[in-house]
Amino acid sequence: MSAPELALRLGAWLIGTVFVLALAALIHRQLPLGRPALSAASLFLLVTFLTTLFVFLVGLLGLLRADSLAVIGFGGLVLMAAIPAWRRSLLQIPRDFSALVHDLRRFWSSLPRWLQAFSAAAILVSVLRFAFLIWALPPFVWDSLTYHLTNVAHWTQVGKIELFDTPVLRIYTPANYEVLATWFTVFLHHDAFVEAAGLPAYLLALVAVYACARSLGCSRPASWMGAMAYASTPALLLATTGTKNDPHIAAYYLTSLALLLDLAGKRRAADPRQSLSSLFLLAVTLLLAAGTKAYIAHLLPGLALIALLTPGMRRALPHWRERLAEAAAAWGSLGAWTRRSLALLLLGAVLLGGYWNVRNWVLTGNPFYPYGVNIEGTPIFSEGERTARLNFARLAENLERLAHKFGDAAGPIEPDLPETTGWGWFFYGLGLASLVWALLSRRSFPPLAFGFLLSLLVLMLSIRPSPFNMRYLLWLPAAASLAYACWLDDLPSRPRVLPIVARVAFSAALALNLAMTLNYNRVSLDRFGLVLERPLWERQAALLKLNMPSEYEHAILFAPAGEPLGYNVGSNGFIYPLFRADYQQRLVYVPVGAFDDCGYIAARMRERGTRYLFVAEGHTPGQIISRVRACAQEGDSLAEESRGLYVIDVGR
Amino acid sequence: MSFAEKALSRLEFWGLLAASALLMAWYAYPQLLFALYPPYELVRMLIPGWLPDLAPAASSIVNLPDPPR
Repeated sequence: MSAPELALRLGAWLIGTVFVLALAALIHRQLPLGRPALSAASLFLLVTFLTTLFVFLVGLLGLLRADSLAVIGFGGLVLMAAIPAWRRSLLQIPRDFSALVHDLRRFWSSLPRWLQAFSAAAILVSVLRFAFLIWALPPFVWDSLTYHLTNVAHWTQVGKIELFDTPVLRIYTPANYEVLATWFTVFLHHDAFVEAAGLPAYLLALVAVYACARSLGCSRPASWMGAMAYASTPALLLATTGTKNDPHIAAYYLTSLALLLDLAGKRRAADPRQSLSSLFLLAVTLLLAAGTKAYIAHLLPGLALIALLTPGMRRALPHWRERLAEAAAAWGSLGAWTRRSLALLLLGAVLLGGYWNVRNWVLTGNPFYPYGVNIEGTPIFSEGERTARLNFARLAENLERLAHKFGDAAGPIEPDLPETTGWGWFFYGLGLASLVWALLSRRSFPPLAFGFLLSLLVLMLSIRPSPFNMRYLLWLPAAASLAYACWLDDLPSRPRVLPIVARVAFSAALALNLAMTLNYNRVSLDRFGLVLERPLWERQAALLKLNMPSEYEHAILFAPAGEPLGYNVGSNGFIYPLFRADYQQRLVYVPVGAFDDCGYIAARMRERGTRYLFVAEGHTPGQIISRVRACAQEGDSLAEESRGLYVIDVGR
Repeated sequence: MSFAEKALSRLEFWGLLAASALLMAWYAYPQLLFALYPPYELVRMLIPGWLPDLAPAASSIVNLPDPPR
């Protein structure tokens, strides 16, 4: 990429970002929450939501290109400046920013000296760690290379959000995360920074845990320590830059919890608009989550239980009726423009929450395609290559597996969490003990703990028992972090050795968490060295030989980027690396049967407009590889160009 | 706060800290093994025959399960 082109692309990204931030600031002003922590969480949420919505709408229109996004962003900014009410609101942004800085200063000065120093060091190390991992490594996590990033690559390449012909049917699953990840690829037309797509979720989760702790009555320093403890969870740290959608679900779950705790804990809102804001943001959060991954539905009963238990079982109904009445009254008091804007936003959230499942329903008759749904042996939706089951046998099996994974003793913690929970030193050390303490000593804590437990149990009714399923539980360690925050405030200050011991234990647990996640526990230093020898723009997922068969490297080296590349992989095969890091390689799926005639395979390739056919050990079914190899040995229709790469019409 | 309450509060704190220390020690054992296994293998390779082969005991480290689905 030449320097002027890079500058133009970065300029387009900047305009798009300013547009989204300005829009988020405008809406944020209309949704007062009354508490700085919750207000910060809502700002992070709005930025994430609006970015996703922007890319989604532009993508559906087929305008997903850097120049279009910049033009639309610029037009949006001009429009905002042209409408007097919005312009007035925009002019308030510097004042809002000053208020934010003031709140941050107040927060920072409330922390004791040692915690300020520790936080500054932790933030610095985290920023450097995230920046280095994003900059150094191309994506390599399994599910990303099969379907998450395959969607991102195709959409970035064609400039449109659409379905395409591929054997990996999981590209049909709800894809709000992939839409957001496209924001990190579309401007540079490159995947150099795609791992940063998890950072908004990481920050949102951090602030949400802080807001939850504040709602539970914890002091600022204790809440911040709880939030930092959660942010140091190895499974979360590894998944954040692992290009997967689970950190987003964790963030949306915890944001919903923060909003619910605020609503449930208030006796009466000082400003009725606060109830409206919380309910509105709660709806947006849950809809965004619904379009990200379906298992948020399994976590909802736990949230509902917290909403019922926190105000007290007897008071729950009148309490929530009161909150709804306040919200309705506040809605009536809003100006017509504000009402219309918020209604439009809610419509956008409904679109993001429902589009994927409605599309699947229309196209296949099953909203959860490619998953069939089976409840206690009764098929509800049978169409699909795999089945989501909901039954008690599965609950027992999953709990048994959780017991086996508990303690992370089966292996080092890696991004896929093989046979491990990935909850780390803090959770198993201070967190578990604090949980027991909070359950016995803090009245406000049991409703929260029961809610987390119910979410866990309902999830365990349905998730497939597998070595890798702990990624669905990234939100769970937050319970221990919140318990710890509660405990900190009850810590006796005399003798002075007590707080010192507590500080040392906390700092050690977090440092150990960070130390065990510095390089994913997968990438050797030699491998890092090999990757770093290449310039940033030439680092390819296909060339990172962690879990990548050599066929992918051969495809990058020997298949011409200017011609469509045919490929055949199974339903769990890697497709993403074939697109190349700059998304220049056009791909076409070539279906091949194990008993197909060689001439027929060649005809299929011609029919699909490609001369090349890619297959790979471990990713293409073995019988198909054998068939293609046999055809190449016969030599009439196919020739082997290099390992895993076959070509027809050699002399053309 | 009465003397009894103070004593209970301290007991609570030290109890929690002791429980944490025990839990951390329980968690630390396999984590240290994971951290130490690669250098151990290196030393075993440099001085052949001196150290026992722990690979079967550490099989979970080297034999990862099938890829995720």
